[in-house]
Amino acid sequence: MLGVGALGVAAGRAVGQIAATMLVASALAFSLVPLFPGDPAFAILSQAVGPLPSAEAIAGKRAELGLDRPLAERYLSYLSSVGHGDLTRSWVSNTPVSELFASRAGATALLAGTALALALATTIALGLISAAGSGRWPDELARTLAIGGAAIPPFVLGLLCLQYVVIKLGVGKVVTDGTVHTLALPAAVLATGIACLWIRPLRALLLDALTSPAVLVAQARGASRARVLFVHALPHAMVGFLPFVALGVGGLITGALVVEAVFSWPGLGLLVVEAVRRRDVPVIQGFTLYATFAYVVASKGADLMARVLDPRLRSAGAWAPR
Amino acid sequence: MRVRLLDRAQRMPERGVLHTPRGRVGLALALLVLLGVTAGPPLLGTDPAAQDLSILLTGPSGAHPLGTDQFGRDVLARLLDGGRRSLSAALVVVSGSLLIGLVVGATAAALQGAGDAVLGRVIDLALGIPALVAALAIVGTLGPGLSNLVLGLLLTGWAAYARIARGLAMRGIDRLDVLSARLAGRSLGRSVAAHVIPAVAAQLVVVATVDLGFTVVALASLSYLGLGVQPPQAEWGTMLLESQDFFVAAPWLLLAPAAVIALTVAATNLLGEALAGPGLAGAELAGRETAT
Repeated sequence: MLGVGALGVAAGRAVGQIAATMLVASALAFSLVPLFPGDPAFAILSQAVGPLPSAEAIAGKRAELGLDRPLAERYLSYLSSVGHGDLTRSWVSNTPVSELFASRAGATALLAGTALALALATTIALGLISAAGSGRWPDELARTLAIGGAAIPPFVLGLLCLQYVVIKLGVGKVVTDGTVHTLALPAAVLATGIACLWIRPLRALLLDALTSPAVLVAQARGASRARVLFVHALPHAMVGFLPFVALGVGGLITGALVVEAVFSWPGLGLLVVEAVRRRDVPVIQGFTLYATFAYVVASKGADLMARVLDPRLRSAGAWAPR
Repeated sequence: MRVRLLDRAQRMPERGVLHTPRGRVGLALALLVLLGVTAGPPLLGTDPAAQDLSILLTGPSGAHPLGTDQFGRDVLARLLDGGRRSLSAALVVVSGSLLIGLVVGATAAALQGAGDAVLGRVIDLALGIPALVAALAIVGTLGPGLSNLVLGLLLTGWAAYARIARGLAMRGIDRLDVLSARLAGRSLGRSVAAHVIPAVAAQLVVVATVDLGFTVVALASLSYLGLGVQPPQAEWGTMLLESQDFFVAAPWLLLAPAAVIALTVAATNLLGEALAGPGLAGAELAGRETAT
């Protein structure tokens, strides 16, 4: 039962770290508001009603947004609202930010989930091919593909796809609708970026696993080449690969933003890019919290998962890839 | 006796960058891009902002090797001018992150005990906020622009360097030459500065090489979203944004910036891989800027 206890401690510590990171992220997002150039109330009103809002209207808007109260007080009340699941209201549309996010989250989850699955499948396939044929042409080919793919950022790949696949070949749509019918291209573009980052680390981990004593013993006992690769090397490498999956999730969050913009995919990313352009601070604050949460949960989750899968890591203190 | 500071995966290759084909290609591409953006504009002599409405969207020709855009501006001149802007901003982000990370990480390792615990926690917290998310928060509040973008990428970007620097410096402090320097009467701080920091910095430069390419991509991506360099100033992402509606009629407006971005990233990746050797060193930073 000692292992379970150590895991429990690690899980408790992870929850504490997630909470601390969220506090820092919220403080960061909030401390930026006083740096907003000019008066937000004036900026909102001049966008909404016209170039010269009246003094009373501005004062009313300031009171409505709570801008007339001290920053610390506003931060505490923001924290308590967030604690209750209320991300305050958009400055531009006056809609609750959580409602805006909920209306877009499905499309982004579909895109990101599909891309994640595609990227994992591609990485494992190419990683295995590369490691199995190490030093020979399949390896060279896979590594060259990875370097070439990593050199083309997702927004450029997306634009190239629009130009040459959608317009020239007539496959897919220029403006996507956020459903499975137009999912293929944006998901493939997003997945390519992630997979190209993953292939080389997985290859290195697989090669490492292939030279481990455990694999040598398996080979000595007459295990076939396929059995050595799939049963002995791959699970071993996947434990070390978990932190890279977490890093990939971080890349997925920001990558989705750009890919959604290229394909006009009606997800969170498009909403946030629009909010940043119009400096809709509550939406940006909400996104900062959401993205930080997703990233930090992925990385702490990967850490815990590695401890569950690999008993050797349970007693170790700080755990890092290699 | 020489005790190794760096473990197998992170060791510098004994043979040097030029002895691997990938390293040679990477170095050649890097020199090409650097030479292009430094010597290119004066050699070319074309004003990147000069509009000529009689030559809108003309294809590559002798006078305009990469064609002209929708305002009749020379695409090659804009690419080179934009490259100066992208590369110098990326250099500021990467070298700034490296310096802050080196100082924070080495300080944590030298302090040990409670000081290390506090700094280690700070590094962890900063690592939790992806650099691009911090950059979006900054740009979204302070307004779009290259300097706000650089500030935003620096805000948490140093943390990845600090974590690596801390780990390497902690191992470095246990080395025999540091011990003998201390026994000879040098203070801990001076011993670390003289014996640990140079080796740690050398490793961070390897990481920074790969990171430079990612930072160029991050800057171009955010500029493409309209959040970085603002038109009419040229930048690779901004050029793609501005000309987006004309790609079908004038494909060179898409292909030229796409090619220089790909060349730059490939150069830093190949160079970084050759410098790091066949390990995971550079890959550790990979997820950061990456998939933008």
